[in-house]
Amino acid sequence: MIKNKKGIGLEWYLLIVAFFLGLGFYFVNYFGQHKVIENYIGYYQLSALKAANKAESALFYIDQSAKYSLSQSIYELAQNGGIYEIDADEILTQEPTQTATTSDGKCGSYYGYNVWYELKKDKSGNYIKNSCFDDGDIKLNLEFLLNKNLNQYLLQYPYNLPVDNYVYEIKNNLEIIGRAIEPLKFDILKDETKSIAKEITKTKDGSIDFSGTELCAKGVKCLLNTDAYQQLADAEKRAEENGFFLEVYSAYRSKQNQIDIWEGKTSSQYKQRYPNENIRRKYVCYPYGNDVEKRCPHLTGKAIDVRLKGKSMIQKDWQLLKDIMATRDKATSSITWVKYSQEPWHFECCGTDRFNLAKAKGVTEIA
Amino acid sequence: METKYLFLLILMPIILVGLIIYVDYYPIITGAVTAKPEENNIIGAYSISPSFKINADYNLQGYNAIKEKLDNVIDYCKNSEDMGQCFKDESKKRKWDCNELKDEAIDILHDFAEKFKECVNLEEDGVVCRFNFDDREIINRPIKIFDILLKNEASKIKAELREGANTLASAYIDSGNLVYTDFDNKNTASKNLNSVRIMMDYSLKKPVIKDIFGIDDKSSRIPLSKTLLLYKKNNIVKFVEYPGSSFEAPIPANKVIDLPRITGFKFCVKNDNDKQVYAYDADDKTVKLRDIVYKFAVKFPNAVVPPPVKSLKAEDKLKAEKSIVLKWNKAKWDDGTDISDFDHYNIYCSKNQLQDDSTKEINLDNIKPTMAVKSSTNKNYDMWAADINKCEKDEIQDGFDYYFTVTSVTTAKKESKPLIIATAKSLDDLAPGIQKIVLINSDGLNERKLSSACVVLPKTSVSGVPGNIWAGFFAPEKNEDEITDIPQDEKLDYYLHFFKQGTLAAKLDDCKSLECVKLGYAPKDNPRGIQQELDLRTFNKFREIEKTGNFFEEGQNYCFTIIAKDKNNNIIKNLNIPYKFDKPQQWIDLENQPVAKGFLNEKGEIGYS
Repeated sequence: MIKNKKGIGLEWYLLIVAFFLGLGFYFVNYFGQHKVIENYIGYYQLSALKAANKAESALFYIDQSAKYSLSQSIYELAQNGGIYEIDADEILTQEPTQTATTSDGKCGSYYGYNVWYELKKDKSGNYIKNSCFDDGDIKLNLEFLLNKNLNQYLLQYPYNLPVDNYVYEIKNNLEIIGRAIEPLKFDILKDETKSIAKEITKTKDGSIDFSGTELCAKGVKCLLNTDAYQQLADAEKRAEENGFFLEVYSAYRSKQNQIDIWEGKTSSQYKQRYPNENIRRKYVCYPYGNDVEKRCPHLTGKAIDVRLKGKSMIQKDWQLLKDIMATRDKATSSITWVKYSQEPWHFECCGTDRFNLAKAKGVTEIA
Repeated sequence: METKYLFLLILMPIILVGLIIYVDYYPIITGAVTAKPEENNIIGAYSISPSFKINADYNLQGYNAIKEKLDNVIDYCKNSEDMGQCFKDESKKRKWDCNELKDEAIDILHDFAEKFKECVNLEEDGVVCRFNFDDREIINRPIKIFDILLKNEASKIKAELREGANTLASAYIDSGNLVYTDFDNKNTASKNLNSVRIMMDYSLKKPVIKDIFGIDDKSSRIPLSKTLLLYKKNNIVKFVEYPGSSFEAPIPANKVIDLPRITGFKFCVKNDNDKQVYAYDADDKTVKLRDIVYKFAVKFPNAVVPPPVKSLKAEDKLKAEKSIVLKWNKAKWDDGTDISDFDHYNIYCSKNQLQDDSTKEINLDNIKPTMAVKSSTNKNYDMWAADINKCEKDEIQDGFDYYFTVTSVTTAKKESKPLIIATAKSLDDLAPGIQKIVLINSDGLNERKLSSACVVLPKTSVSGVPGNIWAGFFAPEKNEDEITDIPQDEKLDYYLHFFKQGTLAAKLDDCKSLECVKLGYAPKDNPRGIQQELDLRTFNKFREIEKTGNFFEEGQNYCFTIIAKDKNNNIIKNLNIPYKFDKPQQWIDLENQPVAKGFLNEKGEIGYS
């Protein structure tokens, strides 16, 4: 019985609208095409649950790995006296036009021990104490080591877990939050018995994404320009003919990604480690300016850092890699890839400045 | 609508936003299933954020605490004479020592790697880096032949220390690949090398580079400079081909930078609360509970023993008494480079032989430096000279043999070994200086001058008294150098020469002629007047002059010169008026390279004059 003369309540109107909406959906489904389920009821849900389980396992693995990595990092950092210099081999963000060095221009090391102080005498014979160790860098160095050690664990996991995927927050006494940049994605499969090989896909901007394929190193995002990918595929064929396999561990990098690296928004925290831009440029390609693609060829999608899979890459392996990569096409006799002489792992193709210069000179290796 | 519903409606977005912020801030696990259009075998994807939170019972503040303690250690040790020893003592006291098994041979490899890196990182460009291993001694090691093998590895150089076929240690140098050049094309040529081999032999305790060669792409052997020379240009460090280049000789056209051995001290500090963590270590290749040990080092100025003085000459100081002049070439390293932290030279003197009879080595055990000598001009002279008046605490005496040796001393107070002895005897070859002569004639004229004076011989007076000249003199106060005093008690002989003005006197150091009178006494000058004190001699027309038969002529001017001779027959032979002492070249040499002389006080500190 309605006692209120003002009318019925809002909830009644909503209920009436919901009823008609539900009726509408029913009729649409009833008269529409009916999907035939090929398997038993709840199979897909089970697949979804399996995917969730996989994710849970991965999360557990990551949690444990992070704990072990932290212990290892604390130990290693102390062994290094709180200083951790990025090794040339660890620099994936740097471009070949710059010279990598492990020295930070401070005091270096003394028989393998990082130097905290360097004493010098001035003209009047008094000692000047030069501090080479900045307490403020300890957190950054711990983060860097933690990320490096964690990456090692992630690469060991059967599933393709992305590396360098965390931004860290360190609190004293000692709590570390690793905030993931990219989520983990697990495919929900229609048929669990059919494992599908990861295939290449084309991105919206036309690049080829071959992450997760045999050509791309685990945990790495691999994108290339179409022509460059074709050249890479050809090179892979040549490698296989010789009994080897290529493994790309750095390919296309977006300008925004490069800016993020430069601005210290990634786990490497280059900006925090090297506030001086001139020093930072030794480690990271400067991402601004009109000539950025010239200076940072990885931004073109036509440059790769590559190695031979499963090889320790000693001198003869690098030579072999060069013979496979930087050669002339048998049919057209045109140059395939050009090797950057200062870095045996870096190759460019398909119209980069360095490639064009090498082509003009008729060489396959150029400085 | 009732107020409670309105409240709930308003609250819903607030709760939603709060939830989003919470989820974003705290990395909790959030999974989401998304369906995909059926494609191949994939019907959807399960996404989840793999964020994590971990804890460890450990505080990074430990670094600050250790750094503060290290600050104190450095402040304490920087005033000590031997900083390395001080660090060692403090490290032991605080249980900061590293207790590592030390192999000097492995340190050689690190020396090489560090110096190479130092050359790579030099700010200067177009320079030659030069270094050797002479400053390291090997002790208690049976096998003394090593190789350092350098190989290219990607963009690095791998340096391995090898003993035969065994690799003892390895180190990496970030310097691109191995390249070499020759002197003429040093700026442009960079020829590739596959490897470089440095063969070393510890002869006489010191490492000696027997050979260096590179292997190029064609497996050809390229001989490289045996003195480790690296040419740095455009951030490329190149070995230098041997021979046929002036790299082997001093290089005036190039800036040569010597890289001395780095000195430092390593510390290993255990975590205060004995915290242990599970960790892997490449040394034992296992994962186990391990102490957290903070490892770091302090570098300090090189305190190596400087090279010795290799040439030394001692000689009597000319025109001087009781002094000897030492001359030596500056102490240099074997390759001709100066001591970078040179401070002064120590001069040791003894009346006795400095060499040990049995070993023939110079023994300074019981001798303190007589004098320290440093440059007054801040220049490190090529040739050093110093006149010495003291031997230990006594003055040098004429006529005795003295033995000298000189050592070089660095700012770190490291002193070279004595290598060479020079001996000399001080001789008195200093003549008495000029003196005043006084002439008075019978007309009452008087002349009072230095050394030589002239006056007219008056004519015989109306009463028949002949004109007279009375000549007298005062004793000299200074020697001919016009610096040193003549002792009060020294007995001198005097020669008074006389001659007609305008004619030359006889030889000053000879008083055998008739124109010279030997005098034996001279008073000191005094203000009371000349008359009382002078030993006056009278000259008149009856006195012969110049030659037999010639007598003083009245009305003529006559000159008189007085000169003194000491007991060693030192006498001024050439007298110029006005008098000016002619310095021997030895004196000029000393003045051109002025030195400050320092003497040790009771505390062992040097006070420079």
